[in-house]
Amino acid sequence: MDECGPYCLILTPSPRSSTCDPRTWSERQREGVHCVAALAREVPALPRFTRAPVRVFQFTGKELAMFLRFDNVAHTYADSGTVLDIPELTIEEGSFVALIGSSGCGKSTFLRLLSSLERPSTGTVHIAGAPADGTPDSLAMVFQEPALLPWLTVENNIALPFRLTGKKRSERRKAAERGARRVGLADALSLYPNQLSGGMKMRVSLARALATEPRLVLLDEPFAALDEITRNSLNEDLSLLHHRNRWTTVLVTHSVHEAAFLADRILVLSPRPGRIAADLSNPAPQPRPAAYREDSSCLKTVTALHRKLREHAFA
Amino acid sequence: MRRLQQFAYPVTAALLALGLWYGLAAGLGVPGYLLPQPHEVARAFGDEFLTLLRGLTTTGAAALAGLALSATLGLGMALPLGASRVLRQALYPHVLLLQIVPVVILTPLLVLWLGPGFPSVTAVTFLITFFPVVSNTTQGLLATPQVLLDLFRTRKASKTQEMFLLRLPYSLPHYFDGLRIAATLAPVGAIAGEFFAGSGSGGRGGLGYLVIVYFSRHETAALFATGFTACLLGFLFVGAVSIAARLSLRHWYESYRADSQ
Repeated sequence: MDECGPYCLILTPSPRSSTCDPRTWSERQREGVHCVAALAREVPALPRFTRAPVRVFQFTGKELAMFLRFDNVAHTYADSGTVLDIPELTIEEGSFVALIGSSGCGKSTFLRLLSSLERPSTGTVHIAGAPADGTPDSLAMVFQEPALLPWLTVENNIALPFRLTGKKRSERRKAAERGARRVGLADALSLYPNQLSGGMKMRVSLARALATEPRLVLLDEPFAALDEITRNSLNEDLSLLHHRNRWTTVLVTHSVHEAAFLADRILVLSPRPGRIAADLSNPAPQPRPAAYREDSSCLKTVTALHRKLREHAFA
Repeated sequence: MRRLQQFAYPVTAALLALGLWYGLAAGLGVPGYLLPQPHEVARAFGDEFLTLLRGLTTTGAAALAGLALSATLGLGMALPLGASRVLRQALYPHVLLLQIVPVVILTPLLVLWLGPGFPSVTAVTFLITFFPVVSNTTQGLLATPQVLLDLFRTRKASKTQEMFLLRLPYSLPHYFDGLRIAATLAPVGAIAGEFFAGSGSGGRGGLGYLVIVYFSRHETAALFATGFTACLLGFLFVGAVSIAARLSLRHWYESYRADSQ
């Protein structure tokens, strides 16, 4: 509600089409419609819709300003040639995008470009309308490994971003407690990483990322090393966290099931140089409970994704 | 059970070595001035106990001072080497040179410059223990995993933060590895230093000085006793470093934690 502020919800069948009646939100959502923000005063019935998975888009004239935009982006490494080639791509604010493809197809490079860990060889990556120039404040990245500092407690690991920005100890403590609570680790604050299981370490890593209240969350195969049960449970948590915090989330994964379960939109990358070979959408509402795995829409996405991978990713 | 094995195996090996020693010395009839029998060494140990103890403290103090210098200056030197490729390329060969120059050539010079006794023995110890600390710590500073560096970069950490909050603590296990090697070298360095510089310090000759004395008197059993005393010193040093490492790194690894429980 408060995130909407003076905005209200206007539904459109697609981000670029004209507005339509907000009262049919729940039906429209099932059909995969998108939600955009416009001036609130114009629609008084706002409170009824704010419990729905709201995605707030800036509405500038008739065109939506996309949160992430790739403009003629190509990236080349000296020793392995062009790894990624994306002439045009836009990603809406608040969406959950999964990136899937064979090894070495540039999935991680995609995230490194978004996080400004690397600059594209050609073209521009735009974040929130501005060219990515140094890592934005509102970005959090979760890596393939938990990337915890072994000499710090869970509390201090979660609070690390605040330590780097010179926040006071009391604030750091508060942020760490809040972060730990959100991933169900409130009792583990005084433990050290070597006392945690692989799943718990990844939760700490997630807590550290979300403690900074990011707008953009980049996940680089974060659950690849975990067993399936832990992975599923973390996926459910992630779906909920994404939904509650209204992140724009980009997930790189090798798992078709993970992509289908979590993402609103799935990009299939071709083998090197990675190009977007398929762009699938999965309009099922977020957050997705465990039972969604057996839902026909999830299974349909899995099947479609398998087919696309067979066609494109292993050519 | 494992702890028992840890203890039992080396003790068994030592007893076997002792038996072999007796066999060689008594069985083959090697004369005592070439190879004294173990009990003769034990007797020499008792006879010379106070002298050896004084030697142990003198050598120990110089070795400890040298090691402490290496532990601090080595870390101080590793920081710029780990931080800058230019400095590393410019300075590392010279640090290596310090290790390569035979310490017996430098020792007389140090005696000339610093005078005999504690200062020059400390300096020799420092020279011989400096390199392992610098080299290991530098390696540690450079061994920080890329994913942690990426994490710090995405959080916009400054170079100083990266060094002191990430690279330096991450290099700690390497630092202690270097320090452990230095701890084995410290008594060696101090004793080597005392060959040249051990006398003339108010009659307080260290173990190195005693070696010269016993050798000139053909007291081979006492020489052996001096050797064992020097070993004891080495064990004390390595033990102290290991305990410091265990305390500092107890949160890092399962192995350190298991030992402390």
